[in-house]
Amino acid sequence: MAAPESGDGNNGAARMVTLISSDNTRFEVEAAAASLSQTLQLTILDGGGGGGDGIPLPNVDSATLSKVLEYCIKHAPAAANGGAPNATAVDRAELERFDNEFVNIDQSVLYSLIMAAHNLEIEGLQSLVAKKVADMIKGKSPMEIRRTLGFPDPTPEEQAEMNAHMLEYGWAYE
Amino acid sequence: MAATISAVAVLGDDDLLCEILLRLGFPTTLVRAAAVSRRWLRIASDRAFLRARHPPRLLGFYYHDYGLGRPYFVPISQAPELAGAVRLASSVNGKFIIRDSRDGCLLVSGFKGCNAVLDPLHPRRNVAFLPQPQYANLTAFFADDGGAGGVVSLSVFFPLGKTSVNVGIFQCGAWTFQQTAAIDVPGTASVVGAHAPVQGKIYIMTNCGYILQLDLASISLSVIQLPEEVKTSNFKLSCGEHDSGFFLIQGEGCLISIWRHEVDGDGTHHWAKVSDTFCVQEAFTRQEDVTILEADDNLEYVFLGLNQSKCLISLNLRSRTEIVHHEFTANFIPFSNIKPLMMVWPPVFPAAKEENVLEE
Repeated sequence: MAAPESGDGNNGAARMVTLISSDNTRFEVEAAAASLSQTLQLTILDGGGGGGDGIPLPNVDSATLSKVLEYCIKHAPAAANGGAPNATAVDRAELERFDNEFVNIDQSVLYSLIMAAHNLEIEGLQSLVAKKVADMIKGKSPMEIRRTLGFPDPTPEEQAEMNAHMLEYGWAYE
Repeated sequence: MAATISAVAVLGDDDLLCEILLRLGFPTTLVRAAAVSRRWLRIASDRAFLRARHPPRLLGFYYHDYGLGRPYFVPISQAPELAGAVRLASSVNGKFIIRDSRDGCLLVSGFKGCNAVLDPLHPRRNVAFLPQPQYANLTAFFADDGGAGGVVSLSVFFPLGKTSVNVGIFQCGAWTFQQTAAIDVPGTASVVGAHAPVQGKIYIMTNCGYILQLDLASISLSVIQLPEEVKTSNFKLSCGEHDSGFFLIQGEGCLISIWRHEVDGDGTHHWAKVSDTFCVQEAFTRQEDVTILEADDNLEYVFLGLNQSKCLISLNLRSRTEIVHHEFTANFIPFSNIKPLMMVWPPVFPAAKEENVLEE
């Protein structure tokens, strides 16, 4: 997954790339970590992002990007092992613990992460954040879901539809 | 506010919302989410998306034998999310015989003297009555028509070394009948059961070492020989929807074997054994033979009867765990009728009225 010249080279220095957030903050990370993004991987394989150039990411602000990179850096070693078939149970448990902790964040940050993971095509992160929102919905009534996600109050017509739905699908509401 | 813009951007994007709804896991949660707004309902109703990621779940099975007079529901799912569905399935009441079960609905006969379709999970929906066909056919199934309400019924004839099937099809409120051409068969048999239509085909099981394949599009029959090792009619079929092949689950003594039927490019049929033959522990302990009573269509559960102690067992084929249903003693195992009840899947929502979405 990582570019051939990345990883622990003979001189011990991994290849680095620079990413530039929408608010012009520069982040220097290992190419292997940035390559978790399908979008960035192509640019990096083409030799982009090295030296003084940097890859501009006009859709991602610095707060979100630093969070995204935190995820990528943590997951890069396992991804480099091809999904970590030889990872130990301890490693896997540690990643799981990290993931759980990682999405324990404000909804606004969560939504920014979903957008960023989608734009940058980081599969594991997309899945992780979508799962988190799904978990926020589980076990709630339609009205509670609306409130949780910050929807405006339903119109009387919508409320009537909701009530009819609950009567029809009684089995889902016990 | 940036936060609000993000929420609208995420939940307003069909792809992103889809990713979230895909991870809800249980049908109950998805049904609730579908009530959130019309757009959510539209996405939750997308059948392709539902089929791909949410396998149907077995709620339990209806058990009926001719001594009981009425079917009883035996729950299998222990999921708290499905407790409401299990309760509704258990509250089905009345004397009738269940002919088929599909997507949470039951095709029954003898319901107030008629053939009818019951929807146990939606008691507010009306019972649909079917007119009596002119020919009193042996078996009846829901048609494989994506829930359009069609029914197929069959009568099988064995005139002197040949066989022919009368096929009744009920759709748009009326029955039509067609007779297949007679084909040669290896021996005059009797029918021991048939598998509901899957991908336009019905498999008719006989006691004479072969299965009849009925193609509903061409109303034609062909013979499929059973594996050589299958010498009795102690077997049932399991036909998944996604695959052209089907499986045969065979019982012999206390042992279970599973075979997969395949058709080569040149049209030759053959059978491949799936995994090892294994032993039903409860039958082994009691030194009894098993009768295969029914199988679900995910090759997940098979339902067995023990011939002497007359008890029923649900066997999970993946984990090989056995549930012994001590609460029931069958009167006579070979006459036991078992119909698995799958969770309604995908849930059938009333036609969605799409309008401007309020949260956008």
